[in-house]
Amino acid sequence: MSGSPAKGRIPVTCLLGSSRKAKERLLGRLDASGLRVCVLSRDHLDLAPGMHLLSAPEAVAECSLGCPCCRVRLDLYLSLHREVSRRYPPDRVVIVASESTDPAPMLATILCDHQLYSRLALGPVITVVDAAQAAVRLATDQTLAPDPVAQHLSVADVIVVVDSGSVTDVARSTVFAALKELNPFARLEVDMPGQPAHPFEVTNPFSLDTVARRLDGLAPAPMQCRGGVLIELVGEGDSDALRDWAQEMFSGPARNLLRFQAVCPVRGRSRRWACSGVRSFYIAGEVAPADESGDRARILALGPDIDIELLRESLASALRRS
Amino acid sequence: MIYDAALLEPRLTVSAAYELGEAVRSLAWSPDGEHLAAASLGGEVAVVRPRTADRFVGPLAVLEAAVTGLAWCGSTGALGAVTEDGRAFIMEPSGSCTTTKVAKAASDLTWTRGGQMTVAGIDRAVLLDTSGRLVASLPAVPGGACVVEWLGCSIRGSLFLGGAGGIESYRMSGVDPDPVPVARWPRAAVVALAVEQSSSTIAAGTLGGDLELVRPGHDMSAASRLGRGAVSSISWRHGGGVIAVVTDGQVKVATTQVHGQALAGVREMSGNPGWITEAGFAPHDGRLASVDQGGGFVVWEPMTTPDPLERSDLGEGLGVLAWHPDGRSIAVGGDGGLVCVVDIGPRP
Repeated sequence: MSGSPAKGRIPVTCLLGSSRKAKERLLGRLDASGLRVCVLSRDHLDLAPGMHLLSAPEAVAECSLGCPCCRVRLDLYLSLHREVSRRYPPDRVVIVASESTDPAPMLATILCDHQLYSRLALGPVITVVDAAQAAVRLATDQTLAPDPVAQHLSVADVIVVVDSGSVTDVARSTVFAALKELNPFARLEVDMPGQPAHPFEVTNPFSLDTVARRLDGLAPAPMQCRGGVLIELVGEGDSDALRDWAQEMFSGPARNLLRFQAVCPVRGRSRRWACSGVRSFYIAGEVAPADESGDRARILALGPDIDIELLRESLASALRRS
Repeated sequence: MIYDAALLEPRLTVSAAYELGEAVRSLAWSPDGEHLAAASLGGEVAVVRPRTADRFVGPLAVLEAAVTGLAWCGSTGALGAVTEDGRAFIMEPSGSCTTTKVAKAASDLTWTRGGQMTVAGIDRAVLLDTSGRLVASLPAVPGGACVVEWLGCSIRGSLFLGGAGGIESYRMSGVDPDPVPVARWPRAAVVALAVEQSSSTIAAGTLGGDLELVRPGHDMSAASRLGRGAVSSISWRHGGGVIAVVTDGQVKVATTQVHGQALAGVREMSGNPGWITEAGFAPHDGRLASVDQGGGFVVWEPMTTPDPLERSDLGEGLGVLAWHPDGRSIAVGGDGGLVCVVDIGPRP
């Protein structure tokens, strides 16, 4: 009777964007030598040796967990469960979203199940943009990308611009400005041939410590853009009241939020309360205090048409209740 | 031999152990209890005869994709399996095997009493005869079917498909194999189904940790929130009236009331050291067995005592279990490929 091999957390990267070639190119930069890399995708992708493509059937749609806002992807849930259950699970999983994928249910799938979340080490959400395609679209339609690709850009932690070199400097600058306008909170990278760096590092963007560090690093606030808003309030709260606020807010009036992150000082404690989620799925808990000016409560809300006043008022009310 | 820690007496005996190359996710005893079929995420389908020395009858097949469902036909003795890439595998008692592509992906199967294999596919559900020929094709539940069960266990019964779009039911006429859609309960994604034949009640477990009870001709019950994570298994006690549900790594037992459409007395059974993956009632009495990812194997009599009757550690994470038809032993399957038959003796 043999024991199971030791099972650690499996790094997972979510790769979004409209250009299949740009995603293939970025995947090609992932060093898969000696690793078992499982790529989950509805699209056919030409992959480097060592990468195993597990295609999700096209017919699969989002599904509800019982209320309209709690939507996840059943196909992704079943596939990820199978992969983490294997005797020899993959060393890395890359989930590649197709152009038509709504990113929120995809990300919520990883958060909706404790068993799944505890086995996966999430890397940043990466959205790939082909500079040439984006420049053409900006010139013709005055928009960077159609929905839901615009949502892919809104939810990204890292935006990678794949630049084939065929774009003029002016057009490239216009694309960068449009990306900054849509999501100024994401890290912007340019993927150029010959550059060794790529954004596949494992820093769980949903980890509360990562969230707190990220929000501390964003300045100044308030800050509003087409794809989201950063709100700042001065005050201290109570963990239970803040949890109630998150529950009420993100499953109700603010359900059009794609992603949100929050950090808030806790009255009478040196630690802070932090929260990270997708739609109505969130993780909350206490994290280390800020190095300086730790009396700020900050919310980063990503999504279209966010009711900023509602968010601000509800958090202020939660702080008063505390 | 596994010893009971309190009594220092051998209570559970591992009577047979095998190893497959990948995590075992499906187990099924043949109707006469002579053979045990096991299937893995590596695509292996093996049939063993635990009572004899020359144990391996197979491996019968190494399919190219993870096996997602496995079941014996009670009337013909055929063995069926389905894979994640949508193929249906049938081994007839003569030993001849057929493999048929039936859907883009398949996740569950069951048999009618008349010997027809029913497969839940992501894009459609199908009925096949034992030689793999298509008998009927049903449109898929919106978003894809995940689980399938029959009420009535015959071609004249009702077929239930659960999946991303909730549950859909079909009535099958004995003369015309075309299914007639009867009802749809589009509430939440259904990932587990269990039928209680005597009260004609279907229990549906959702991805969000709810349990919903359905009786044909009645409205669906109010959902009972039993956990936050997906329901991974549902089992009815022999004779009905009591149900065991696994969610959030715990097994919860409840009684059903009001014509089987309401849950009461929900209680959590404690005793497994690890995250529980599956629980199942014995075929003829009220014993309940569960397995967990820490290798724990526990047997309860939940209606008489909350304390475990038996508890042991089988050494590797366990994902599935199957009671022998006589209720004297249980097969368990592990994450490391272990297939193990544990004799637990008769009911104490």
